[in-house]
Amino acid sequence: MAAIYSLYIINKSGGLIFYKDYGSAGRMDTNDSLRLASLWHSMHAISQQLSPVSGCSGIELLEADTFDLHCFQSLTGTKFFVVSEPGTQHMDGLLKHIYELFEGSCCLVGAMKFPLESVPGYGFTRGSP
Amino acid sequence: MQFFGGSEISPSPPLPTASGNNGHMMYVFNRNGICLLYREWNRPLHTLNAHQDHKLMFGLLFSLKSLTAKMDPTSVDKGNLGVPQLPGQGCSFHSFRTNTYKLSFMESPSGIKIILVTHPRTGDLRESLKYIYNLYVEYVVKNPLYTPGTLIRCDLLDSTLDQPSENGVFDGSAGACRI
Repeated sequence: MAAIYSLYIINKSGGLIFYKDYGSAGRMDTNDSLRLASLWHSMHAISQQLSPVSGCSGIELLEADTFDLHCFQSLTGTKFFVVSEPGTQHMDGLLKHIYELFEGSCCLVGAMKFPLESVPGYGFTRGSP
Repeated sequence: MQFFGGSEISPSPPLPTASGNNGHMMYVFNRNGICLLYREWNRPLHTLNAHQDHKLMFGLLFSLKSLTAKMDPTSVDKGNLGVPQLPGQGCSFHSFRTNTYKLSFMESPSGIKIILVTHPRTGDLRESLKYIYNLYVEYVVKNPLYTPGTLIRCDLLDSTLDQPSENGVFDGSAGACRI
């Protein structure tokens, strides 16, 4: 059965706000996951500059030898990406569902809690109703 | 990386098909980042000048390889992020897709990187990339007048690459015919 290895959520500045590992062979420590997230943010932006036609919105799928990386960018600039086994289907639907859960639980309520600090992009103050 | 997969010594070119040219651009870099060949068939948007575009492309590939090597979920001991990877060391990506283009990538054991930028719904182009690498070996490397590390100027190579509808290079079809 096709597996999901890990899930990352990064804010529109490229900072990692959520990372969960669901079964990779080597666990990454926090610093590495932060670096990878910001590296992905930059690569996503650079890929738009190399497009031969206008209207590019960045990398949606990266296929490697041992995994696939599916990425979804919301209108607010938050990126959700999942590392999965090669050939896993329906990852786009999964990412959109995660986006809905994230927006529902974290943003619309007005008080946000993230495992990692610094959310300057959203404009909410912590603890506001 | 399964560069030498298959039983043939030189992979055969794909079968000719009726589909048109999917290809936008093609780059060939050597291991030092020098762009040996840049071919453009359909590129309405030029964001940067040629030199910066080549540097950006090479930099993107270098960083993506570093990212995939570190992010590999099946290997236990991964190197540090940003350390240059030898060709074939660590997990490498073979393509990525955006909403406007698909980039297919192949690196040979000698560090020659071949990049094809095509329509986003193109299939797997790994066989086509191997075919192009074979053309490079036959027409460029075996040419005694070619200096490695310099720009490739080869009419035979250009004309072969410019006939994708005949060779089926850009639609990912695989088959057998003579080179």
